[in-house]
Amino acid sequence: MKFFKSLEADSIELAYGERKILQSIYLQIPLGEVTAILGRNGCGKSSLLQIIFGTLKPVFKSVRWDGRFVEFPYREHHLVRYLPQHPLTPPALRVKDAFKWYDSAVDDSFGERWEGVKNKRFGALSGGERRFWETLLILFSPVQYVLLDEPFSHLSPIYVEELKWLITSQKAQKGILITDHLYREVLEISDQTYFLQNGRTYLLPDPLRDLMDRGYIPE
Amino acid sequence: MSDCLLACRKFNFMLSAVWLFYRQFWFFTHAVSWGGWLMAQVPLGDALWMLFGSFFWLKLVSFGVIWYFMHTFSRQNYLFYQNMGYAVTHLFVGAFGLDMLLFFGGLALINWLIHL
Repeated sequence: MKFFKSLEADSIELAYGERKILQSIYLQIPLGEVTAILGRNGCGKSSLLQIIFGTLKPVFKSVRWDGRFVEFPYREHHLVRYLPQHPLTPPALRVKDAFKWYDSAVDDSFGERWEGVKNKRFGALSGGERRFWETLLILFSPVQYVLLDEPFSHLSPIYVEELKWLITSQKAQKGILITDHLYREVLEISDQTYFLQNGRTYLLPDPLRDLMDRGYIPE
Repeated sequence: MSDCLLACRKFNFMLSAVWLFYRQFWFFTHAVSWGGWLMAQVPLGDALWMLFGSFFWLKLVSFGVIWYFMHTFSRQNYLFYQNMGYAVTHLFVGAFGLDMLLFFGGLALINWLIHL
C-alpha cells in the first residue's frame, strides 16, 4: 500500500447557477495531523469535503495526494473515508456488520460497551449513540485520510470528550480533516485551522483571535 | 495463486455489497416484474422467449424509477457504499444484473418444475 504524506486541494470552483459557493480554495492536510475547517452555516464546508472525497463534481478542482491528481479519491483502495453530516449507515444494518464491512477494528478498551451495542441495528440506537459509533466506524477504518463532517453533533459532553481523545490518538496513523460548530473542541484537537468565508479559505495563525476578527465568534 | 485468491475475495466482497444495496428495493422490482408476468397470462417456455424483450424493458424502466427516487430523495444513502469504494453506477449495474438473474432464474425454475 502506498502512503501519501500530504493531501492538497486547490483551484476548486463550485457554483449553483449564478451563486459561487467555492472559488479560491487552498488546503493542505498533512498525514499525522488534525486539520480543521471552520465557517458559518452554508459557507460550503460540507461541499468542500465531498469534493475532496470525490462524490461532488465542481466546475474545477485540483485534489492532489503527494502531488498526484486523483479524480475519484473514494475509489482508491485504503485512501480516504468520509463521515457526512447525516446518518451514514442503513438503519437495518447491525453495528458489528458495518464494522466488518468497513474493516474497522474496535480496540479492547470498548469492552462491555462494544458487547452491548454490536448486535444492535443502527436504526435502534439513539441519535447520539448512532453518531458516536458511525464516527468510530470511519475513524477506525484502515485508510490514510478521514474527513469528518460535524462528528460532535448530537453527542453528549462525555461522548464529545471521548471522541476528542480518540481523534487525537488516531492522528498518528492518519490525516484527519474535521469541521464542526463546536469550535472550542475543534481548536483543542487541531494542529492547523482554516476558515472558510465567501468561498475562500484562510489559514489562521492565531485561531481564536482570527475567528473573532472575522466575526465567526463574539468578542 | 494469491493474486487469484485476492481477486476472488474482491469479487465476493463486491457481490455482497451489491446485494446489500439491492436489498433496499428488491421488493419493488420483483412486484413489478411478477405483476407484469401475471398480467401477460403467465407465459412460459417459447411464449416467455417471445416476451423476453418486453420484460427486459419493464425491468429497465422500474430501475429508472428507483434511480430517480433515490437520486432525488435519498442521495445521501449512497455514501455508505461510496465509502467502500463503489461508484453509484457500478452499484446500479450490479443490482440490475442480480435482479435479472433472480427474475429469469425464478421463471426458469418454474418452467422446469412444470415440465418435470
